[in-house]
Amino acid sequence: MIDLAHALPVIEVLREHLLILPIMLLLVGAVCAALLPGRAAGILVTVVVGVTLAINFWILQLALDGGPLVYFVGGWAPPQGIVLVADRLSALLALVAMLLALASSIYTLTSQKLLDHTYFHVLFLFLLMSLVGVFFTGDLFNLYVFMEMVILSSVILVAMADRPVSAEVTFKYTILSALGSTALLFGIGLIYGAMGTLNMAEIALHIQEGPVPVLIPFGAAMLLMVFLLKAGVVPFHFWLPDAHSAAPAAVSAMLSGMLVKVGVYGVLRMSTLLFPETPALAVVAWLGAASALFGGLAALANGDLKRLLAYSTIANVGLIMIAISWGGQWGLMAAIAHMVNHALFKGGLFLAGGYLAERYHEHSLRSLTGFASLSPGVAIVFGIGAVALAGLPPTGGFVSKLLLIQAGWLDGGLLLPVAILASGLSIAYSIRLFIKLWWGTRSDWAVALTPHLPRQRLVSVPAALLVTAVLVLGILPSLLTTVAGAAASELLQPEIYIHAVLGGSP
Amino acid sequence: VSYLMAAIIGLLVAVAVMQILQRDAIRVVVGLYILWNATNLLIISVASVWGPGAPILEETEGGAMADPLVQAFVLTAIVITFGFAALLVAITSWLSSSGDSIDILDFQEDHDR
Repeated sequence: MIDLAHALPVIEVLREHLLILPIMLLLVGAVCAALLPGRAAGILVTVVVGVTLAINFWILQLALDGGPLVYFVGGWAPPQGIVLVADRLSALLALVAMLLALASSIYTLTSQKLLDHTYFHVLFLFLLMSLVGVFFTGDLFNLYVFMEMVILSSVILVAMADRPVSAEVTFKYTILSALGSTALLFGIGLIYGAMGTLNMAEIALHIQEGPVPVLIPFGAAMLLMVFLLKAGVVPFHFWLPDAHSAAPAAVSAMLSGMLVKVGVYGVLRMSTLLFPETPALAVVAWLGAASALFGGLAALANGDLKRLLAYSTIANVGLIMIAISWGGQWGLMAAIAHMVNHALFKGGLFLAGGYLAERYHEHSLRSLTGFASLSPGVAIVFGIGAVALAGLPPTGGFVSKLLLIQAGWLDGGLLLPVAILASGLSIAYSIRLFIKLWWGTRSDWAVALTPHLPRQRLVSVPAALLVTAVLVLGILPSLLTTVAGAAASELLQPEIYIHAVLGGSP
Repeated sequence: VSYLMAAIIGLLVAVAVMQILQRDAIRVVVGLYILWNATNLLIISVASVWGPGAPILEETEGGAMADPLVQAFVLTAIVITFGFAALLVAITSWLSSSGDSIDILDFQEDHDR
């Protein structure tokens, strides 16, 4: 890369503005997509997402090699200027988001209904732009703005499924998200009132130096509540199964794979950078334990394919929260590794399962039994995804469950049995999914219907892409553990982040 | 002044919460809008702690002036919440045209089968 940079001055310029590049590209892509007809817009989205994926890969590589990348928007240095920061965690999450988005956008190409939707492509790119923005922003107010944009675009994307329940589900999702973002703004207002700055690095520095102003715990509690709501942690989970199961398959994959990670990312940032060693981690731990168990049990009891997957998202987020509360190198590493794995396999499962549900207009597991012989390609992909969901080898799911148990063992607390129990539940509901879909008796109506449905090629390709990624992470676990470990060790040294943003020697 | 402001914000939040807890979907939307305005007032009142002067250097030289950054935040927040409110009203209208009721109690409790 360095030789290339000397040869081409363009690369040098690109590198200088690297962090703003994904955001700009997605934004320009969104505007262009509005001007193009259906299929052309779909192809444009796929290309834009692919290019952004490559850029994010470059960003991750730079962040792994040389510490956090910092970009001053408009050339104004903090604390006055707006700053974008990509440390290893943000860069990794942005990369995974783009990988998931690539699969979703390829899937969209196979769905005529979504292709014909005028604003689908525009909103999809806006959603991705705001996701990348949330991960890269270095100050709280831009976090709020990007989170609002995530909400606004995802609300309309959820509404696009056009099912009978869509209006109600969209209303619920919007109201709860709006309440959440109000609380976020409230909390940010309190923190600004106490600190006089919104730059996360500067806030962290002030809190380290102490004394902590009275308003800070209130503001922090507001922020924590919003992030838990976004992550779908019990007791803030009730909107999640509705919204995630009512959305179109390509959107469900993004929602369940990546949007809940916005909340998890927020909790990680708060617990490592802004308020390290806060007592609120105990709350995160027990709420995480509650969601791991509740999500697992609800998934086990549910008879609806997409709702089962949505409940298992609650369970997995609960496990990640438990790992965050353990903290330390192993806990954070387990949390980050499981975030990546969950994003990949849940995206794959939602694309494959959502395809079946949309093809047969049927969500109930009872009616979808034994479809494996009807569409074997999708079934194989779904099967591998279910193995990863169960946390069994040879998938990445096994690796992150192992890391989780290792972290819990080192912590030695009461939460380890809870995490193991939740993992057991995940095996149980994955096996239930697997048995229903592979060995159940085929429904006569489905067999009769299949020849009349239009043949759709390439449908299993996007889900296969994600599932293959999980398999690769399982077979070559060092790929994941190296990156997650490096990200975790960087999170444990917040002074690296602070010095990268504010200058000075670490 | 700040006690009065605190009382007003508290009152607005109380009204907003009362409205959000109503059964009528449109009242929920109105309640949210009031809550947003209360939040904006909160942020503005945080700013005026510095002083009442306009944040223009030539005019209030030497005097205490308000924090200009906060004005920008609140402007952004107002724009966002306005857009959000428009979206919410649109969804409520969709709700009333797709079903026959905007009473929250008529929502299906659970879509589980």
